[in-house]
Amino acid sequence: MSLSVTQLTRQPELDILEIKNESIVFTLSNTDISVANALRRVMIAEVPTMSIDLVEFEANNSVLCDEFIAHRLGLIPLVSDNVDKFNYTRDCSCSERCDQCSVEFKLNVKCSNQRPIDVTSSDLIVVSNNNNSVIPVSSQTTERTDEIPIVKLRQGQELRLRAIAKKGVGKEHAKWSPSCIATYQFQPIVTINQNRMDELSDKQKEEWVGSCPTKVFGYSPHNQSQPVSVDEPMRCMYCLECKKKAEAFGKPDLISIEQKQDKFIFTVESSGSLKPEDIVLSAIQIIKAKLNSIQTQLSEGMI
Amino acid sequence: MNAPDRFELFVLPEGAKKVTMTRDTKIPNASMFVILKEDHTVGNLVRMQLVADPDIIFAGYRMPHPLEHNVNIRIQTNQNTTPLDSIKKSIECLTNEFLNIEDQFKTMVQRKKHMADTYI
Repeated sequence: MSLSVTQLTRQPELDILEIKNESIVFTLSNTDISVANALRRVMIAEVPTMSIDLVEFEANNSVLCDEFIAHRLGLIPLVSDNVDKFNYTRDCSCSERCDQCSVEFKLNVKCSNQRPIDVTSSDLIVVSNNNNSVIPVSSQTTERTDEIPIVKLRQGQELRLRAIAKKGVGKEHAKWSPSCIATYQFQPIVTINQNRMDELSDKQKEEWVGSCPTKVFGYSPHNQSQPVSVDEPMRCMYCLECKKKAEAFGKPDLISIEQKQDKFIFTVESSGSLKPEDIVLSAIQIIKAKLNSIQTQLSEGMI
Repeated sequence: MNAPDRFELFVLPEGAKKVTMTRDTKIPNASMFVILKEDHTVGNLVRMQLVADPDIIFAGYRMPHPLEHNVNIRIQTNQNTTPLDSIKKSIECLTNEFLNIEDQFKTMVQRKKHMADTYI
């Protein structure tokens, strides 16, 4: 008796723990690790963003060679919230490039002061007139600390160039990857054997609590019934230092650390080019599109 | 100079079929599916879903060569179904699953944003 699609479909559960401007933490449970891994891989390598890809130098007598600067320009994150409105240059109907598939920047800095000056990402100025949304992420704010340095110029040195940003994915070059961090971890389950813990002296307890490099445990000597507690299980990185300490005290069953292997805790940090929740959403949609293209081909053109 | 274009990693060549199926000549109910321009992301995803189906005797995937961006999925089933039907069923399951994840994610984001609006 075959199982139906409904019987075979897993019912995953998702919960968002935290959303910030640059990062998101969420859990995914009741599913397979292959789903979590597909999501992670797509967030890193297949979510499209905009990035500088072509640079034409008009003048450069700085200390860095053209290639060096072009590479640095490529790595500057650009605001890509409107990336869906752009075409890939290879798919675009234009002959070489147009406003539908690229954004042009210019940079023109000359140092005439005695003191050397920094050329930064905020010196990049959009030339294309139709779309001003694609700008360096640092240009969104006026804070000078966010600027990304490109090169230093001393008196008499000049940098003049045109840079062309295109749409792309991280598979082609990491500069198009929207995520700085995209990882998942299993949920750690940390349990203290309280009977064994009571056998330790106060000094040993304190020493044992201090053995954890990420400070998972808390020690409050005034709490008579339970002086040692598991305060931050999520910080555990499975180094098992606490286990080693417990063994050194002759109590190997003092602590048990396990992984809950069907609950994935995702941490996604954006480079600034996309909002973290948009990265996740876009990744889910890309996987759906991938599956869909395979499904259509399977239903249509099979022998 | 003669380096292949970087987009060859993920752009399907003109006129090529995304998926092709070849029947195994020696084993009944066994086929090899070649999916062009895909990698472990889809390969492993589909394989794990196939393995969950009790009608599948064998399902595995491989990337035959690091410079060819294709995955091969090999499936052998029992008499109740065929490899083609089972892979279609698996992909339907996965599509449903991702639809579900997407819906949940959207509602959760909405809820979180709403909460942030009321508390700040």
